[in-house]
Parts: sequence; structure tokens; C-alpha cells
Amino acid sequence: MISLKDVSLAYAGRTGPVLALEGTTISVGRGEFAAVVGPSGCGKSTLMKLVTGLVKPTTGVVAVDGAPVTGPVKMAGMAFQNANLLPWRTVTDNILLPLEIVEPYRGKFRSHRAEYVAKVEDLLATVGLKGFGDRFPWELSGGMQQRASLCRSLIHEPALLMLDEPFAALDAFTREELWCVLRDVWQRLKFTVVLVTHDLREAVFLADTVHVMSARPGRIIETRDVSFTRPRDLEVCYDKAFTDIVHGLRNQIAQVRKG
Amino acid sequence: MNSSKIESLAPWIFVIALFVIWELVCKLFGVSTITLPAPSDIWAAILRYWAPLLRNSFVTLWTTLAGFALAVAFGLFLGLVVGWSRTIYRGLYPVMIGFNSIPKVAVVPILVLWFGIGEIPAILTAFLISFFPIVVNVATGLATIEPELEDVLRALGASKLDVMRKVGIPRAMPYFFGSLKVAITLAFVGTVVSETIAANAGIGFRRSDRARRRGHPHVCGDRLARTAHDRLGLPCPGQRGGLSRRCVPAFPSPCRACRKGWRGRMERQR
Repeated sequence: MISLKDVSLAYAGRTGPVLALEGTTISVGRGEFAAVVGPSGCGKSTLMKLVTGLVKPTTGVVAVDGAPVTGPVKMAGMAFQNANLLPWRTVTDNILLPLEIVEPYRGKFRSHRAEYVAKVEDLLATVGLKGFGDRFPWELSGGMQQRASLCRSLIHEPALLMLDEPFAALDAFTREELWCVLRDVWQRLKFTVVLVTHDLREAVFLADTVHVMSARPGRIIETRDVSFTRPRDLEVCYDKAFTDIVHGLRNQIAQVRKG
Repeated sequence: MNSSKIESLAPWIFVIALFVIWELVCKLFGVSTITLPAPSDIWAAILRYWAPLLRNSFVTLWTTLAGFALAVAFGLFLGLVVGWSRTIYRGLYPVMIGFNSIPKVAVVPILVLWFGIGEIPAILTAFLISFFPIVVNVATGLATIEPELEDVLRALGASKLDVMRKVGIPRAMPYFFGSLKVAITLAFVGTVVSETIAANAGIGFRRSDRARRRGHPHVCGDRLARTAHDRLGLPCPGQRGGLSRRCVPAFPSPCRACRKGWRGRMERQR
């Protein structure tokens, strides 16, 4: 689904070019849940922009769905640490936004609006926001906004979902709840996910493969498969095997931070 | 009385309080009408001269509104252009700031030269002075779209126009309406400035015309300027003397607020 081959990216900084990524090679299969972890400032967000075609690599090739990426991929769902909902739109209208932009929904948006609103309501029910469609974003708590943001990234049934620390600003309980929400939605729809995160437990709990990045300039220094049976229960987080993986990753990142 | 009622009455209470305090200060300290006329004196003058005041106010009103309308249309357009791309934003901003720092009083004679004395210079001055805040606010609203939100939309294949229509323009609207409040007051200032310098009608014309003929307490602002000038030796805009005579030898009219300039001119005419 996604393949990056020997990709580097340099951008113009204040004191000359800054190398954000160097010789990154990564591949994510169709329907795979991939997590990228690493110290802060290692170019994880840059990786997301490369995959979605928002920036072009300096060297190397980025390919999505077998075709090289030359511009915005026009179908990826994205969610960030901030929910970034539009304050003048209701939750429903916010979630409908991608359908106003992505073809083929765009062309028939007016005539099919009722159908799409029903779809939004289904999705809202899945993430535990049933009945909140008519509220405005500022009437919701941070966790609820993040749920709505997740809905917005999924409404057009994207084949690819890019998540950039989507749960980082939430409290621990809400975060774990949303892990389960994401787990269930993913298990049902089987899209490809790239999750960028600082939270190692989050990465190991959700992902099939965890990619560890080095400090700037970012490189993938290790790819680890996580083979716990699915569907996973939150209890798995307290298994010895689980904590061993987290511990191992933790040490690795501590090392790259030093080095 | 509940708090929402007090809130709706607040503008009235504050305005009335201002006038009451003003009146009291004038009466208690025996301020002469030349220094600062009390509201009651001004009211008396309004009643006495209501016909010409109304006539001239109407001219000022429509020229202000015409200039304001031009400013809204042009400001919105230019704001969208400037906010559209970073290159235009960076290229046009210094030019606009430079243009906006030209005192509009200095532009009026040029406008008069081009369009003659009348309403057109007043409309254009109102326009020139009031479009800038609209441009800046609309451009700021557009240029400060959250980059992440723009990424979300662009990853969906949204064009720049889509981003503007769905996010940029709705987002800039509060800024736009905020700027209108500033712009309408500036448009009025612009009209009056232009009328003061060269016009046949309007509030500004009436003010300077009365001042030229002296002796009417309702030209209070003019009195203030004259008093400040005489007593404190403050420079008067447009005064032909000292620095301005040397720097602007061809400036067409002598100072109207300056008593000496005024007297000098009368004496020269005699």
C-alpha cells in the first residue's frame, strides 16, 4: 500500500538546509496498522506529509497503491493532536466536510445529503457520540472533539488513514477508550493506518508493526512486529510479553536520544 | 431591573453620563464657550442653525457611505487577493503600509486637482482612509488558517479555492465585520477632512466656513484648535509659516484655524 524507498527530505532552514529525513525505507501493506515511534523532532510528521503527497521528497521515491506520489493523494483521511473542527459548523457539518471535497461524493453532495447525514450518525454512534450531531464543537469536551475529528477522517471511507498523535492531548482514561474505538473501527473497515505517536503502549496495543525512528535526521532503525491475537483487549497491556516489547522499544529510543 | 435590561440600556446611560459630566464641568469651572462650549450651548446652536446643518450633514452622510461602500468592496477583494498566497502577501504588504502612512490630508489637494472641488474628493478620501483596515483584517483571517486543517483538506484533494471557500472565507468573516466598525468611523473622518480642505457643502465645509467667518460657538472643534494654537504655540496643519512655508511653498491655502494667518490674510485682502 505504502512504500518509501531511500527517501530523504531537506528543507531550507534559517542557517542552511536542514535534513529532516535521511535514507528512510518503510513499507506498509494493505489493511495493515503501522505505528511510527521516535524521539520528538525526528521527522515523524514529515513522514506523514510525504506519504500524503503534501511535500515532495528531496531524493528517493514515495509510492502509494503502487503509483509514485507526485501531488496530494486525494483520498487520505487525516487526524491530528488538535481536533481542528470548524467552530461555525455543527459536529455533523464538520464531519460532512470531506464529502464536500472528495469525488465521487462531491458531485452528488446536495442530492444525497440526507443519506450522508445518516452515515454520519452511524459513525457518531460507533465512536460514542450518538445524538451530538447538532452540537457545535465548542460545546464538546476535548475527548469528544477528538472523536468527531476521527469521524471526519473516516467519513469518506478512506483506504488510508494518517494519524499524527491524535490522542496525545487527552487524559489517560479517554485515551484508552479511544484506542478501543479506533481498534473496533479498524477491525470493521480494514483500512490502512499509519499512526505517529510518542506513546509506546499505544503503538504496541494498536499496531501490527512498530517502526522506530532515530533522532534527526530521521531514519527507520528498527521494525518490530507485534503479533498479539486480535481482537485485543485492554488487558493485554498488562501481559508480560506486552511490557517486554514496550520496555525494549523504550530502551532503543533512549539510546537514539543519547546518540 | 435584571442584568440583560441594564446591558441593553448601558450605551444610553454612558452617553448621557458623558454629556452630564461635560455640562457640569463647563458650568462649575466657568469654562468660556471659546475654550469648550457646554453641550447646552452646542444644542442651542444646533437648534438655531438646524437647516444648514441638516443640509450639510446629508451631504457628508452620503459621501461617507459612498466612500465606505467603495472601501468595503475593494477592501474585501484586495484582502482576498493578499490572503490568497504568501508571495502576494509579502510583496503587497510593504507597499500598502507605505501607502497607508501617507497622511490623507496631503492627498486631498491632489484629488481636488484631479477631480475639482466637490463630493468626489470627499468620497475618495473616505475610501482611501478606510479600505486599509478591511484589507488587513480579511488578509489576516485568510493567512492564519491552521496549517493542520489545510493539510487535512489538501490530503483529500482540495484545491486552494476549496480551502478558501470552506475554511478561509468563513473564518475571515468575524475579522471582516470587526474591521467594518473601524472603517466606517475612518470613512467619516476622511470625508470631513476632505470637506474641510476643499468642498462646497458638508459638515467639514460648514465647520471651516463658519470658522472663517468667526464668532459661532458651534464650531467647537475649530475653536479648540485655534485656542491650542494661540496659547500653546502648537503647529496647525496647513499653516503657511515657519517650516511648512519653507518646505511646501506652493501649498494653496493659508491656515484657517490660525487666527494670525486668518487676520494676515484679511489684512492682505484689505
